[in-house]
Amino acid sequence: MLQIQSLQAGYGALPVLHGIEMSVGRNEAVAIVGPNGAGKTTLVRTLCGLVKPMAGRVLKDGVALTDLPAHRRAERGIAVVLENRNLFVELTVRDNLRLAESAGRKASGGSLRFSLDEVLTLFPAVKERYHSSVGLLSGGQQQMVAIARALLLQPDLLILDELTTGLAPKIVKEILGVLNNLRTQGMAILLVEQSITIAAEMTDRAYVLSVGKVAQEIRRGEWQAVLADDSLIKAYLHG
Amino acid sequence: MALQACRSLIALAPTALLSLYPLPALAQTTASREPIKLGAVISATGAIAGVGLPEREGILLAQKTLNARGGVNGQPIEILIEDDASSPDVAVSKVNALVHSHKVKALIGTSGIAQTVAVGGITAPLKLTQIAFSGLGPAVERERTCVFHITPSQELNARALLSYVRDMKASKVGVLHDSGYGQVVWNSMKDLAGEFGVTWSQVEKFEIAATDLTTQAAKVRASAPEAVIVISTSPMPFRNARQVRLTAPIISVHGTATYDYVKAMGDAADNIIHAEFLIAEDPLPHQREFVDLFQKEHGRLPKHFEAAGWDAVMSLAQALKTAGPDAANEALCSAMRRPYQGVMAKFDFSAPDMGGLTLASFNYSKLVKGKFTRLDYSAAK
Amino acid sequence: MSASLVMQAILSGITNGFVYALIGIGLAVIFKGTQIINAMQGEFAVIGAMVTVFALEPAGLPYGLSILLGVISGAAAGVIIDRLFVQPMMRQRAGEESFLLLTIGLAVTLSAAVLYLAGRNSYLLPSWGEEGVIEILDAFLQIQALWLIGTAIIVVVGLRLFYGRTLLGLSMMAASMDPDGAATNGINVRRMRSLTFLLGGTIGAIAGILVAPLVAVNYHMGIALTLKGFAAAILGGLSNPLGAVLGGVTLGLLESLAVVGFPSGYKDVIALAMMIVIMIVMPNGLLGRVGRIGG
Repeated sequence: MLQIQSLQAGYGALPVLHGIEMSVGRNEAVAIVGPNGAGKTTLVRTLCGLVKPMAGRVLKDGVALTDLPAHRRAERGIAVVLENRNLFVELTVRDNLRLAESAGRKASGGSLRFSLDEVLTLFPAVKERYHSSVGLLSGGQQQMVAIARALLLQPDLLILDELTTGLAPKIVKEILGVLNNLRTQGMAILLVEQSITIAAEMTDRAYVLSVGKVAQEIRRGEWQAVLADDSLIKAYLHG
Repeated sequence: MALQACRSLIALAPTALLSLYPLPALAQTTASREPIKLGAVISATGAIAGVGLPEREGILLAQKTLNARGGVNGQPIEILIEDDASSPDVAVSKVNALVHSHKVKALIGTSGIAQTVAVGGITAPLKLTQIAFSGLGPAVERERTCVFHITPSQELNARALLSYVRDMKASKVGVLHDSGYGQVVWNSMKDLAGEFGVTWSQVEKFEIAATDLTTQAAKVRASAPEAVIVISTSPMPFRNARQVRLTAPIISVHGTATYDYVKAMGDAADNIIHAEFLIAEDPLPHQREFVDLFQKEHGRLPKHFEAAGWDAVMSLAQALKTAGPDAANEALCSAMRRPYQGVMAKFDFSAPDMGGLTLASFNYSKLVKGKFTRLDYSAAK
Repeated sequence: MSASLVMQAILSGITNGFVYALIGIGLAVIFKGTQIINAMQGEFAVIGAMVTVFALEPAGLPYGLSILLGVISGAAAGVIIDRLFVQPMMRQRAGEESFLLLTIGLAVTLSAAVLYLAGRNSYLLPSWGEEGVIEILDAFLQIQALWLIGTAIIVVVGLRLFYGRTLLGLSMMAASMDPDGAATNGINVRRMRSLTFLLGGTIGAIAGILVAPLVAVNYHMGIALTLKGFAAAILGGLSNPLGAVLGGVTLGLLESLAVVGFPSGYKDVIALAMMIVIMIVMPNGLLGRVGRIGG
């Protein structure tokens, strides 16, 4: 349902991404891996509308997204959790979620796959701290709030950038559990990850990004082979 | 024979036709003579635009009226008016241009003391007649005998106020003055207390841009004055004084005796006495003509600043008539130096202060519910 | 120094204080919504008052309608400034200093425009109810001042409810706190910024319309109002409307009590010196850290 064709994007005059070709199908979980500076975050920002492409296009369900401003991408079923999470730190968890819920309601025309109650059930820790200011939460709790907020936008494609960086293993496990659940319910997931292991665990296939280009595609069933091959890992994944 | 007659007729026709057209008058008309060039520099913008703009209106009306009556012995006047934006530096450069490039015969202006002193440095050495809308100021002006002053000096203003205070038998006087114009007048006034038999019950100062003076007004009220002198270029002290129930009569200098101020004072424009010059609602006989002309031209009544503009032009025209339009600077200046009955007041330009205003020159008015009424009081005693 | 004089100073200080507060509230709203310090907030007040004055006379409209027009013109001015100047500068990723320079430049330009259109006169608006004063302990408070204080309080409470309870208010805060986060959560950040300026312009215009019956408004009042309002906002924590009220009243009281105790010429020196002391002791303003966040 997501097609990226010959995408070229960057900041100012210099492109960071060159001729990117990718796709994510319904129900698929796809990872984007690669060393720092490869352009992964730029790709995420372009997909969610914060960066305008210089060339090429992005299609969702066959319709080009190129000129759609960021705040309207939820209408096309796209939700994102950015690297910095970008939570409204001085507001409460409740207010953060309310904003997304209202946007999701508008975007989906009233049909809610993820109600506020459901989302709170998915993340009990969030429910506990419902009236706290987000700034007072731990890293893991904030990450959960960020995902909960994204779900309330009623997406069918969830994009996650560096989800697990800096989180305790226990929290990571909990979050991944939730994501797996979502996958079985039909959510498509695009995961930008530093950790190969997590990427391999969570996704069916992956694109390896290097210096702004797709250096390699790891297809279905190829993960095992990649994990076993040290040289590949070194070459592409640690820059 | 008939053909011959026809031909003659046809030959005569052009001449006959020509005689139907009026020939251009060969006699001399005012339109064909060179106008007498005069310069004027007033403050149409900036801090003292409040006085400069009415001065300009008076100047323009005088020019129009004078030229309609044949100008100076048949020669029209042309006044080149410039704006000095209330700045002495700008005034100097405008005057330089008027004097040296346009070669004006005399200068009217400026609207403020600082500018007048500054441009006096240009006109005085040339003995160029200058008629200023400011009172005699620093010592140097006493030597500038061709710079004439149409408005009173600050000391005379102060004396005019104190005369009234003394004669209304008030001895305890409160004072509210601003940090600019008010400070200047206050400086001239404070040492005159003894001479007029008054004591200052409370003196309060406020800065020019202040928007609320109720506390200062309350302090003055607390001193139980019998009269209050307000010197300000803002309507606020008048309003605030009344708001704190300061009911003593307020006496002020002519600067605030204009319709703009009255409007801005709102309800407070009541029981305020001004030592001023022109009460257009009830003009003196010699002021009536000007008031009528101004009202016809602008649809409203004039005050003394407009009259000052008028008097400057008319007194200069009189001197030009006497000395002749091509008179040298000294001759014109001499011709100015004599008594002159203006609309605003009776001047004596031959006096040592180049203006000749005295306490007797003042007309006192009282604001009664927003209207100027003439007070039957004269300060000359 | 008598009790009635002190009382007069208090009443006068509170009145002035609420004038500063209203300007400060507008500044706080705009800063809260856009992180921009609006040096032309006082001009919104002048625009609001002037439009009302000219709608009343010579246009001859009823007072209520004139006030409405005045408020609308303040709102419109805010939106125009945002669309014409702020948005393009944001697209170019201009820095904070640039915006400050922009608003200063606009303040001077607007002041000149008002001078050109309305002249140099001062204009009074009629009082809202009866003209007159009420007497409290031998000191006097104008009835119009009560309207001003009442309206300021309503504005503050209204803003609190708006930002805290309504989704639109939350969205405006969110757009300011984290534009990327807001955009990816369905919030039209540009529109929120315009709304912020609209709100700031409206509040500024209301301030001008409330003040004009007390103090004749003219073309050069804007800058003086902005300075006082800025002081009020800073004292209150810069993005907190309630803080601006506290800051404004504090400043007003400091000024008028200074006049009572010292020769009036020193009023500004004393008030501002006290302000400096307060800022040193409480750098986050009177409300402390809370002030910087909430409202």
